[in-house]
Amino acid sequence: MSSRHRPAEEEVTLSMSPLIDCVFLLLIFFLVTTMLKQDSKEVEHLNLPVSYSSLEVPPDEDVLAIAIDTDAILYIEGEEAGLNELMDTLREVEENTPDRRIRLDTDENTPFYRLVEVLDALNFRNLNNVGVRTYHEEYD
Amino acid sequence: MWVSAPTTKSMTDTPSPESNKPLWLALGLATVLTAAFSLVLALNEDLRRTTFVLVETITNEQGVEEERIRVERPEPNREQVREIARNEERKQEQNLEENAREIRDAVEQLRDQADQLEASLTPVSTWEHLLDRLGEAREKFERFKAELNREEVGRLEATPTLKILSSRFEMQKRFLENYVQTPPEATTPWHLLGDAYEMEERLHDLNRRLNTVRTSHRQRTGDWILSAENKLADDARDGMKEYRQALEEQLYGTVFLEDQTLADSDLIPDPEDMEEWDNESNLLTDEELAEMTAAELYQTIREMAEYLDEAFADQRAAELAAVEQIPLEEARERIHAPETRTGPDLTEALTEPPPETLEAFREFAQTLNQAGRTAEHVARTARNRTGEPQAQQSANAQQLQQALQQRTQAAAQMTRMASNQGRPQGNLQDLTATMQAAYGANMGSEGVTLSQSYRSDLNVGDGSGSGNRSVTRLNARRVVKQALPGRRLDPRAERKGWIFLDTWYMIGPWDRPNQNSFDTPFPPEIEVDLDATYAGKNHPRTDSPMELEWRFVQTENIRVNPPDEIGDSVYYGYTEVFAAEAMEVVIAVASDDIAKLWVNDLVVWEDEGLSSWRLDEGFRKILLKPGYNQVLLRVENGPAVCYFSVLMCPVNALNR
Repeated sequence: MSSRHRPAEEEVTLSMSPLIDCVFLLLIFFLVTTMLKQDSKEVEHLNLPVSYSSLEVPPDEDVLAIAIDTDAILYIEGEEAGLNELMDTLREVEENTPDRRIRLDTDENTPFYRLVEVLDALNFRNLNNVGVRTYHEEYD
Repeated sequence: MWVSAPTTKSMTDTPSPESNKPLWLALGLATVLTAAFSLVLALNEDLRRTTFVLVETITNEQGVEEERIRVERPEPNREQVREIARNEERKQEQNLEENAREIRDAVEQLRDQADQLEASLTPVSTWEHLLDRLGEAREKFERFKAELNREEVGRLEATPTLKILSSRFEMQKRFLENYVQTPPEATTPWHLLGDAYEMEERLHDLNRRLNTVRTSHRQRTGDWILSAENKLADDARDGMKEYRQALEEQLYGTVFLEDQTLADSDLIPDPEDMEEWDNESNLLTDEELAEMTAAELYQTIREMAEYLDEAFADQRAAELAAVEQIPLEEARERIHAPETRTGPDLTEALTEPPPETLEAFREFAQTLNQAGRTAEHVARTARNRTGEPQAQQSANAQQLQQALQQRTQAAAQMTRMASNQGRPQGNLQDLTATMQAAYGANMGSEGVTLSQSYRSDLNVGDGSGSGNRSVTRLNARRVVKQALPGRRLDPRAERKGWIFLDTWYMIGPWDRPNQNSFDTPFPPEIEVDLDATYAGKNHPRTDSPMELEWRFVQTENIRVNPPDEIGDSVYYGYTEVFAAEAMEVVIAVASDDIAKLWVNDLVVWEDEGLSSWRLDEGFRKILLKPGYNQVLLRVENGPAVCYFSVLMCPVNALNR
């Protein structure tokens, strides 16, 4: 019996079922493990003040992030901004979404007068849903 | 794949050349694939540079170095980087285009307003202008003369010259008054200029002689004559010089125009040149903007920022000329042209070829973002300068002109009523009707809202004095105790009574002009830009101009001190007041020394003279728009301390 004339039942075939199984397993793996991280509009060089009594709040993609660094420079949504822009932004928020959450990021060494200035501007515009962001080991 | 036959015999057999064929085939295939892959690698740099795994050496917690695999995302190839950069550029182009349109519309609107205002100005003849200048020069001369009359030594020497000069002033005045009525047509009145030169020379000569007389008096008697004449003499000579220069400009200007119309065609500009000049400042259409690249749009926005500044300065100058009834040229000289900040020029970085590496792309994206931020900043400035764009656009030219006229008339009337000069202490002026007319003329949404909800309450303090009191007294001690800090007024609030404005943005000091200081506006009067910096008064120690920026001031005291308090200086304060609905409010401004207050760009208080702080210097009944009202204060410090207070009380709360 020549090897070239092998019987039909000995022919090598490629089974698709395990392949499809593998592909599905991979797909499920990626679906489960993929984490969608939101842009938290952070200013990278801020060294947040430490707090042990802070509370973790669920992420909110509509939050308005206002930051002040050690040189008293303002940042709105992570971009450097001036006082005019701050006033215009607060005016828009007050007119359109007065209940919008506002997050205030400051450095440990941010000048206090600037923080007071921003808080006063928020208060004057009746924007009260304001939180100050701090560093807490548990929530890092 | 080769599968052996299930027989023991075949296992012992030597493999036939046919049985090795698949192996050779696989080997050949592998060689071809390897060669092809090597060739592709050799030809394609991007593929060669692809990184799948990086091994890095790190030091662990025990201080032992160990190697581990660093997993990195593969770097995109050149084509992918170009594609990403193109997408990013397209996105930014849309943003730039929208901003460019907004800025262009604002420039057009401001130009229209300036044109309409200029067209509505009553032309002030140049002879009237010269007459004003002569009046100023004469005023300075009279002050000098009065001072000289008090001095024994100088009076004897100066009397004849002073008499001659007085008669010459009178003569010049009479001629100019005649020319105001009937301007000279046939000849140019050169004799006026000759006389002016002679008067200037006489004043100069008089000063010289006075100095000689005083010196010889001192040598004879040993007495110094300490007088204020030196400064007054200089002022009188400067006044005369300014008048002579104005006269010279006018007369030579007239001759130049006459000559030009006669024959000299070289001086007449070529119409083609004029057309070219016009096109330079022409604004682009939507189609032209849509076809532009990001770099071109950015460049256009930078150019339009300059047009915006020019148009805004023109509009403010025309408004000032209309309100104060002064020549347009003079108003232009008074206006500080504002400058919109556009940052460093990024055109070169934006016109470079598209990035091919990830690092170059990051730089490119950063530049694009910066260009976008610049465009947004210019667009925001444009928005703030135009106010209510939709309402303004919907009006036709005639309505616009009427509204502007109405507003400037109201503003001029307000300026007269706001002045506290010559009015008794505690006087109360009612500005509400004029303010309502001015608000209505804005044609914005405020006007409509106001007319629906505003109900005038005239129970108190009508300035006409018809049955109502026009002077009021205030228990200053009680008000100081009871007034609360605040900036929000709500009729539904439980607490009613006086509030004092405790939060300000302040800027200064600028040098205080010697005379008519309110005629010299400083930049905040043209535009309040809280991010701007200016060169101010010279620092007393370094003698170099101080760099001024707006500073946040909040106080628990009724009286507010400006920062960097120096004598003979001008400061500005800016704040906003919220009114829950349109309401009449009595405002009490007190200052040490001089103060002027604007509410929503309308003058509501003007107090000249170096007076001390008194809570009841005067009261004004004003009208606040519903929403946010802008308050700008100018305070001037004389020789000593400087502070001010601004108190407000709703009229209905005052009645209780």
